[in-house]
Amino acid sequence: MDAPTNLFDVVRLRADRSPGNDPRVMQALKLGLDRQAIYQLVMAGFGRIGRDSPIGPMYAAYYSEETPLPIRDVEAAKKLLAEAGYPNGLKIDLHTPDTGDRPELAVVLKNQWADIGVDVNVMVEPESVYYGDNGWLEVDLGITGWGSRPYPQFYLDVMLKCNAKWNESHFCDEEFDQLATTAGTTLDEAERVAAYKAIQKLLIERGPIIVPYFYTQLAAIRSTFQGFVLKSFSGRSDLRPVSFVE
Amino acid sequence: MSFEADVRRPGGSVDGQPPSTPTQPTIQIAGWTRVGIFVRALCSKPASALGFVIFVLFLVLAIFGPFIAPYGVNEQIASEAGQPPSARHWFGTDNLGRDVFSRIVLGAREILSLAGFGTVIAVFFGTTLGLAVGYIGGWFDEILMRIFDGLLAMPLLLLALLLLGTLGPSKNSVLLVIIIVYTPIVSRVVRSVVLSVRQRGFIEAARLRGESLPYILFREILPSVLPALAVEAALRFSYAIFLVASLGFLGVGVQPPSPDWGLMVREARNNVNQMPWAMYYPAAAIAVIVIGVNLLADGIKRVLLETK
Repeated sequence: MDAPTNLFDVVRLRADRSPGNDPRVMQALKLGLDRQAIYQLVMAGFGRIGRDSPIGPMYAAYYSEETPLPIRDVEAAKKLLAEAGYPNGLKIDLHTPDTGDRPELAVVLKNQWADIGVDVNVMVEPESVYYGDNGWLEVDLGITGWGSRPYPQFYLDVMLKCNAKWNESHFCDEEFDQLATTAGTTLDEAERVAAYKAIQKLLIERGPIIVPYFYTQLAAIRSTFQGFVLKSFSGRSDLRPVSFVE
Repeated sequence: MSFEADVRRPGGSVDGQPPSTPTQPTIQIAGWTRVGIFVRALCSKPASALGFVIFVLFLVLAIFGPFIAPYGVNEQIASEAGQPPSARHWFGTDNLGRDVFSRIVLGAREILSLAGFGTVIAVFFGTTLGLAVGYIGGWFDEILMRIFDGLLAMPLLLLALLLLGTLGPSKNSVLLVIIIVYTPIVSRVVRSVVLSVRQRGFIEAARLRGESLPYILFREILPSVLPALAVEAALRFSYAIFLVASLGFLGVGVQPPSPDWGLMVREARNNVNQMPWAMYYPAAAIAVIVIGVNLLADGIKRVLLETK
């Protein structure tokens, strides 16, 4: 059995300096991806395809699929890169911790981006190196794993607002900050849902992050038991209602 | 390998006789004939012959790999991920849909060239330093040997990890690590041989003739060192392959998506229950080449002793 989680890997490009300070570069990178292939290869078909925002399907009403994701278009991506000043492509280091499926994701990204002329140099590092001395907040292109939280506001406040503590992509957008503040402070549930949906649209259009997938929580239980409900946080699954089948 | 021709140089001082000088007339045997004689002697024992065949086989893979491999090194076929060995994929595919056989074939060049270049450079530095400290002796010998002792006191893999942690993982770092780790070992072997020949008459004669230091080191002493050096170089080469693969496996050596065999074992480790072939074949490749080169080193040693 499986339960959806909001555990995901973020591929993020620093937005405050070259090459990421030109939004066309990130758009080109997004256009260079075949999301279905990434999902099949790295997740083996488990979990959910991500939509470049930390607000995943686990958050039910807050989650939206209204804005379409960029569909792979190699020529359009190359054109965008050329317009951004990289007619002969781009060479960039991709830093990733050596845990989970991140090295595999890095290899798949390298392959797909090679088609749009982006030459990725994969640097797999132990977590102690990746996070040590806050190097993960410094690098241009990196893959960071973000844990599953009970509510989505955390990611916006900590990862994406201007001057947020773990704003690894150094993203700063006035409209985004306003929407995130509204979502975090309003008492009107409808207003909050609207703000979260607007944020997801904004992030797909000009956000600094790619969220390729959400992990799933997997578990197995013998058919001689009944009443087990798997929670997103596996350690919090309640075993009290579990009983033997007579 | 180029050293076997020199070892058997007519008039060489392997037996302690004065070596030939350029003015002396010598009987020249064509280079290829000498290589042929050496290989025939090598292959007279089945174990050495096997080692030689394995080495040549992997050498062929390293040189002609791109013509042999049926798929690209990072060609990912999503629909064929995780397939067991079949006629279409001889060694199966890994979890990212890459053909394991192609990656092993194409990885041969990387591992052999890294280990090979590393060994050649380490042997060059080790020989030069070993000759110099052995012949000059004194304080120079004391200081350098104590530094090397310090380096050798550390477990080899630990020293390699320390260096890679400082240099950052890359192909060049791995090359540098092989050189730094093996130069002291080679130089100790060379030095010990030099110590045994430096008091011989022909060295004294060269000194009395007023020959320069490099001449004495490389023309007079080096030929005596060559047999020991040839065996040492072959052994170092097999250990270097092992070191490159170990560092790849530990994830501090060459970086993905390189088809380094050690790295392939590391990457396939997570899925070993579902697709064991992705792990076993590269592991087997490492084992076979290391055993092969070791057998070859033994063979070289045997032939050189017989010649002597």
